[in-house]
Amino acid sequence: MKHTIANHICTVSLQGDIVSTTVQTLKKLFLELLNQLSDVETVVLDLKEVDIVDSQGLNFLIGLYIECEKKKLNLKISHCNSNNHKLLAIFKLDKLFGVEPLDNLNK
Amino acid sequence: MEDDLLKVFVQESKEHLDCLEPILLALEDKQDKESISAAFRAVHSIKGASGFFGLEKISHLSHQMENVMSLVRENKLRINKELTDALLLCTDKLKVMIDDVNNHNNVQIHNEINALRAVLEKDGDQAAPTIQEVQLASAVSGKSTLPENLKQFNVPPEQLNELLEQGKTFYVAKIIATKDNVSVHYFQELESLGDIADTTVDWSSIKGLGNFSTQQVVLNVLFSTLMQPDLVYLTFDVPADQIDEIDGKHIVNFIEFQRNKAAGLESNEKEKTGLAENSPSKENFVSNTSSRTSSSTGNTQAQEGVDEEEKLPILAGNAKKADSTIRVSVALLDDLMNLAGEMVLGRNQLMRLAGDLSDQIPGFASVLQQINLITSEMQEKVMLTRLQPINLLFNKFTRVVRDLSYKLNKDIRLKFSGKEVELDRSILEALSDPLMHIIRNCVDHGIENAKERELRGKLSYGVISLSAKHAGGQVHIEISDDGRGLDLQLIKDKALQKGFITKEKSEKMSDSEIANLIFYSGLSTTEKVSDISGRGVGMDVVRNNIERLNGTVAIESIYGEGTRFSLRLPLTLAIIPAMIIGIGDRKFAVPQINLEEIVQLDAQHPIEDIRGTSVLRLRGSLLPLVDLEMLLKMSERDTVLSNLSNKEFDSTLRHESEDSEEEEHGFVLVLKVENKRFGLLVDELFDNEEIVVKPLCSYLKNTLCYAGATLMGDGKVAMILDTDGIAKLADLCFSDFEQHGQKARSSESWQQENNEKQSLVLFRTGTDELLALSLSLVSRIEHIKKEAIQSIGNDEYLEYGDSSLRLIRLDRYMPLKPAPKDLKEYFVLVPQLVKKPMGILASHIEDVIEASVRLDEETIRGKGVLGSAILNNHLTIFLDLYNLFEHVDPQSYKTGNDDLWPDTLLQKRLLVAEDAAFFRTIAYNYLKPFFQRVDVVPDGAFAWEKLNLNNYDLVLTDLEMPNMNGFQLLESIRGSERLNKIPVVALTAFSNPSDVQKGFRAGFDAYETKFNKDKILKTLKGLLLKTG
Repeated sequence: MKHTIANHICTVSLQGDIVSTTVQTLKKLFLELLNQLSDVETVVLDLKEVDIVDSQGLNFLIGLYIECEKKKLNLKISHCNSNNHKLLAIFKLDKLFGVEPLDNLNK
Repeated sequence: MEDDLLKVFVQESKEHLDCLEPILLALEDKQDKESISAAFRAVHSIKGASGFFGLEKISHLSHQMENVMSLVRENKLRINKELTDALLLCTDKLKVMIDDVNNHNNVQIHNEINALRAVLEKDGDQAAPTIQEVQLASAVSGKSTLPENLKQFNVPPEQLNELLEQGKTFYVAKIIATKDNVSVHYFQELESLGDIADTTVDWSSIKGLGNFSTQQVVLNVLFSTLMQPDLVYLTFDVPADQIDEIDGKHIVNFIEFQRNKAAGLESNEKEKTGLAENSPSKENFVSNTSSRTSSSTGNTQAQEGVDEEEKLPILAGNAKKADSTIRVSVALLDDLMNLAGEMVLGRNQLMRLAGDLSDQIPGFASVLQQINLITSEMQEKVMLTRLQPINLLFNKFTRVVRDLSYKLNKDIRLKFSGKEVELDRSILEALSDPLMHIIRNCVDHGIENAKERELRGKLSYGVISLSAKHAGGQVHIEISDDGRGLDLQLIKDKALQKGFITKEKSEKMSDSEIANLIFYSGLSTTEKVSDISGRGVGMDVVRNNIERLNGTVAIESIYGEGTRFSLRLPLTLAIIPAMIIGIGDRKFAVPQINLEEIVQLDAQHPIEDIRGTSVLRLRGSLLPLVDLEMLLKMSERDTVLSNLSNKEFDSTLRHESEDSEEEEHGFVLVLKVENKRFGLLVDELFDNEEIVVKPLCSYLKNTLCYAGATLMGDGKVAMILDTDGIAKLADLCFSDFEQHGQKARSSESWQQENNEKQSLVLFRTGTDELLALSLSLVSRIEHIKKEAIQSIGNDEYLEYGDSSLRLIRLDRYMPLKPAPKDLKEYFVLVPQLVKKPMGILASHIEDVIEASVRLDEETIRGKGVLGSAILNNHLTIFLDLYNLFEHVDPQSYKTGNDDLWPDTLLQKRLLVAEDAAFFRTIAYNYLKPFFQRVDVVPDGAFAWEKLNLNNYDLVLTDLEMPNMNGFQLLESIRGSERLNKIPVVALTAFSNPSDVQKGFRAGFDAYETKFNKDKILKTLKGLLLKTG
């Protein structure tokens, strides 16, 4: 997991899937990261390298959203592949936090 | 794949329609909510599935039916004859379309739609509404509110309308996110089968980046589809209680609601329906979704009230049903049955071949035994898979009787009993036509119209009763009507006219034989040929069909009172128990169903010759004998064959010569044909075996003697004998023997003088006393487990048929020893000819015997005791059933109602002629309290003597008596100037309808069964009051 901060935006690039086997590590890393952030208004999750989000992955994304809310941070998702985008849309997460599909960003 | 699915659809739709028809017919008489919902569901399922397959006309017609049923369900339309007619018409058309589903579009459905419309117009004086009109009407006029779980969704009204127009059904599913369903693939599959109209999500359990495994995201989906509910549950793969089917009217409401909301009328609507705001804005997302979804499915049911309450058990039921039953094709079951048959054959062969080896190989015998048992058990279980309740067949007739009775303007009620009795599927199918024919005849010819019935003093409506029961490994089916009965003289005349019988033969024919003439092809007594019956074709087909099933059909009829058809059928056709017999060196199989008893020929049972026919004298009756060897000309053929091949048939010739030397050796199998019996002479008896019935090849089909063939354990083929065919081929004339039999009986009685024999059942209630009851008073003996006895207060009862039978323990009413407390099984003697039978509990059934009884009325006396006698060196107590029942339940059994018994009758004098001392005692005991004097005499000659010496007001006489029988006594009385006005009542132990007719024709004033005490008293009262 890599992150960059520019213009009050912290962009976190995730490698690998957001699934039951990875959520515990991600949780730990994100809790640490959110504690470190200052002068940041928006957190962008770059899912370019993420193929699959499973049920625990969904829980993780919602949990992350709540943690960001607590810290008055916006959460956005970018480079989301079509499958994940569809899934997030079905679970109405696209309305909860902005989700940019992979195609849009490639344009 | 689609073809397979379509087959499933056709099968299921047929089942739905089969259920629908009886429900609609029942609703016409009695409207209950459960049946209305069941009818609605059946139509709804057909509509849903047909829409899925794009079967437009089926979908359209079922949809219209569903709309109408929906109005019925909401109490806006009442079911009457017209509506039932229209719905049945639609059901018939659906059947036609589903039967030929690929060409269903060629079928016209205007008439059916118009019929429904006509009913609606008549009912509401307006044009039949369209789908939307009906739904809108119900939505607007009904008190329905929007289900809670629907309020959470946001769907454009146009989209909802479109889905509704496509005939789709809406569901709300609650999906708990798991690794199995949080995948694009899962939702793609859902979308391939329907439309995800909208979703909402509840993630209120997630408070942050906590423990993910305990957190839960719940997704609520509004889904629309053409699939049947069962398939929807399967697709969602969630428990049935997490899916709610949404009624169309709610969707119509929902459309209105969405429309109003879009037009900015939310506030008004809110007041009207109490809906909450439902905007998924970021700010209120969490609170809204959580409050909404927490009340998802549960609240819906509360709001929906009864409607939804009905659905829940159905959903649960479906889920349960899916677990416990599966659908298997009939072809597979047929294959299984065939394989089971082959296995039985293999087992039989193995048992025969390996029998000798069992001593040589240790443990081999027990393995063989196990294979033997398992094969039998497996064959039995396979047979069970093919059994279906006879209800499936009976249900068809409700409609037939209803339609025909309307058509013929008759009021006919159909009664069923034993609907749960099961029969092999193939027999059930084959029975459909014969039963249908009999019932159509009952309706058309049997039952009179109301006017005629009233003139005859009958109820204005006729009753056709259909009953089925298991007895002796067979199924007995009875169809009876209380109509006009058969006019035997007319049948005889018609048969003579058509040349079916000769005049000479007609004079010899018994009533039962005359009644059976209706089974002749081309004989119809009706003057008018209708489209229902009357062409004289059919009854012969009925008999042929039933005989083809190895069954028998008998007919009894009393002119003016009714007709009864009794069918006896095997439980299954494929594997039957049979007795293997040997004639010459050939083996044959005789189905056990036809076999009554076996008599060994010896000096006591010699073969006699009457009019050139061999007969056997068996317990006073003459039994005509058939020599199969001669009938099949086996010896001749064998001789011819042996001449062709001298060595090969040596054994046959040897056998013949042995036979001729020892004439009186061999056996007689007493076989049943309808209600007649004949004997079949056989040389050897082998064993009882379960045999597999193989059909005959076409060139043997017309042979009367054989019903099929089977493969024996030694690999040889044995023919299965057809008893009816043999009787026909041998041209047996039973009435000849009946007459001779009577003479034979009479002459025996003359010789024996009053040493008459009684059929008795001997039993014990405990371990000591031996009790006896006349067999004529016992209708059945049931073997029951202790658990089957139910106690209410001090009384005990047994569930018996449709009602309960009170049981009595004799030791409570007589000084007898009680049954052991640890007794686990009992016998129940179920009496007959009493007005309210009570079952007598017995610990053992000792025997059923025929014995000469010299009743001792002095030694053992008491309530319920007739007397005692020594039978087979045992002191036996004879029960007086009437007295016993009066003692046990005085309220119900008090005879004759003493208060109403006219005083004048107490002055009357009766003469009873009865040869059996046993019956004499019973009759004397129960008649004595009602008359001044009751004299009993042992025969007609004594009676005649008494009549000439004394004055009597009435004579009761047995028919068969030595010296002078009942008919002769009657003739003498009627011939006497002094006595010819005295009423004479015939008494018999068995009330055979043909005997009753014979009795009336002879001039008896009444004809009564010996033991039917109440009926006899009633008849005597009537006759004596009439004569003054």
